[in-house]
Amino acid sequence: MNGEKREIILKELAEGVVQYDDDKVKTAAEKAIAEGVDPLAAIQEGLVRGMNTVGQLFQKGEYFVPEVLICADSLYAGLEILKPHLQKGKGIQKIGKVVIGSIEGDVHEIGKSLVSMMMDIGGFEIADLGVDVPLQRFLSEHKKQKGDIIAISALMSTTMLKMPEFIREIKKEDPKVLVMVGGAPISRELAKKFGADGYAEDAQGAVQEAKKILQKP
Amino acid sequence: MLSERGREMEAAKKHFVVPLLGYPGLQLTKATVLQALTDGHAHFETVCALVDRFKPDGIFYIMDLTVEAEALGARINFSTNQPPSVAGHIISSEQDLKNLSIPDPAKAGRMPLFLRVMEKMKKTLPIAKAAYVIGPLTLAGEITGVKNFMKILIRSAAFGQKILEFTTQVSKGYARALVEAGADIVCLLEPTAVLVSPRHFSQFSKPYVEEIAQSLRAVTVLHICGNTTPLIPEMITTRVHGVSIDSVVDLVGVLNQLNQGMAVIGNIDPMKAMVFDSPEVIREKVLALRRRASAHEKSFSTLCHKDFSPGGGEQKTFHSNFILSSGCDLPPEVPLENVAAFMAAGRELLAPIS
Repeated sequence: MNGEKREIILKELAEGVVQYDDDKVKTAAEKAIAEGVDPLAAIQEGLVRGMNTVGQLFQKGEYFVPEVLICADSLYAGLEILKPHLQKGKGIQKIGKVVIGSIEGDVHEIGKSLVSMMMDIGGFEIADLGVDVPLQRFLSEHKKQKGDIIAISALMSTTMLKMPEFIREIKKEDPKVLVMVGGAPISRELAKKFGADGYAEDAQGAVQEAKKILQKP
Repeated sequence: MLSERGREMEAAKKHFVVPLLGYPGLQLTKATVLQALTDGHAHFETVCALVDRFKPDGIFYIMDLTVEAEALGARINFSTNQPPSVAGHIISSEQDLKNLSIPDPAKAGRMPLFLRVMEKMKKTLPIAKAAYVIGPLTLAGEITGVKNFMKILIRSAAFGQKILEFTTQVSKGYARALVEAGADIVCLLEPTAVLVSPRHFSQFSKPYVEEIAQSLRAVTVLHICGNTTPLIPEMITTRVHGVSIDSVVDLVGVLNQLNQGMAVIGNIDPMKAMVFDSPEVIREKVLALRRRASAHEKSFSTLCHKDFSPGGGEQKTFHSNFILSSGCDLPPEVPLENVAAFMAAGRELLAPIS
């Protein structure tokens, strides 16, 4: 297969994700398999590249939450086709392990899910505990996963105020784990005050921040 | 002797000071969140205690974003010291939607509790009485699941619109009952709108908010939390009397764009300032906001189609179209001395700019 054809397929995968066009993504994914494009490249240089563009459009205020969610659906539609073709042992290199959830008492899902999704796509291994997660669940899951990062979301000021205690207890249990926080009422300043190691304003930023605090390029 | 225009200009310098109070009042009455939201008496006492202590120009009852969804049959998670949340979604298909009917505010869930609180507020409180009602897009998200509803907006807009037509009727019915019970102001809470683009807002929230607002004989306010900067041009052309903005939005920028007859409500940070700052710093922040706003304020009489001042009366009164408030609902932990500092700084005479 010539390089030009490969580039076109990768471009279609990326564009399909950005345009949230499931059919385009699926067709391009089938084509990638048929034409012998390395499925890992199709995922990383096609789908994930597309999702990174989506993240940038979100940061620039051109895309909003509905668009990002739909784009992710398109990405996963492509992944479903490509993943079975990945060679054993030649999977996606994981950057680190993250245990993530919305804090106890907080049922806001959307921001946490966006972060979890972008981190997953960005190369992290994710244990998403969902919403309304008590401290003990964070701790036990972290122990089980031997994770690198615990990421906590809070959208309400009342639940946000539990963060300092959560962070304190987490650090007591495992002083080496890095804690990231996020959510509408939180700022970098508050995150620091609460004792968190990382903070991001949005999902794309969270991926960058996670890499930064893990000192991974 | 001042001319009418002169009096308008003088009055324009006077702000209404209406922080989004509610939960901090629990410190005064020692009631729990759960008590206040399930016992009308405890709720009303808390509201009265806040008015007694802080003497704001208007008072809301305590914010609860689950009342409408509960009235539709959604399961609600209550807890002793935290605001409740909707536990399960009740719509996943067109059939689910068909099975729902518009709740009767006199009977459904805790709507009657809030109506009775408002009736008592009307009887006893000599200031503007304000009610919160959930916005149509936000209610749609509560009963469908926010994530699901976000996708519906793009994937099946027609179904989304059907849900919104329904939630609009729910909020409208409840809002009308509240106005009948005595609410002078109805604040439509549409926080979920912060997630969508201006185009989606203009399609999926604005017309429905307008339908509700236009049906009410009350002052109407649209509140959206978070960074609504991209939505501001749409919000200020929504036919309501005021837009309430969070602390991350530039209030002066909004004030500059406002049409005659519209007010902006905001926007001292409910957390960073009100929870964590000292009373002195809060005073500085309030005064700084007022100073920045002062060159851009206009006189505003729409709010005063009823006279909210003690004693009532029919005469036309003028105020600034900048209503000093917090950017969002104040959490229970806000120290009371911080609320006092906020109020005092709102009332303080500003030194003339030389």
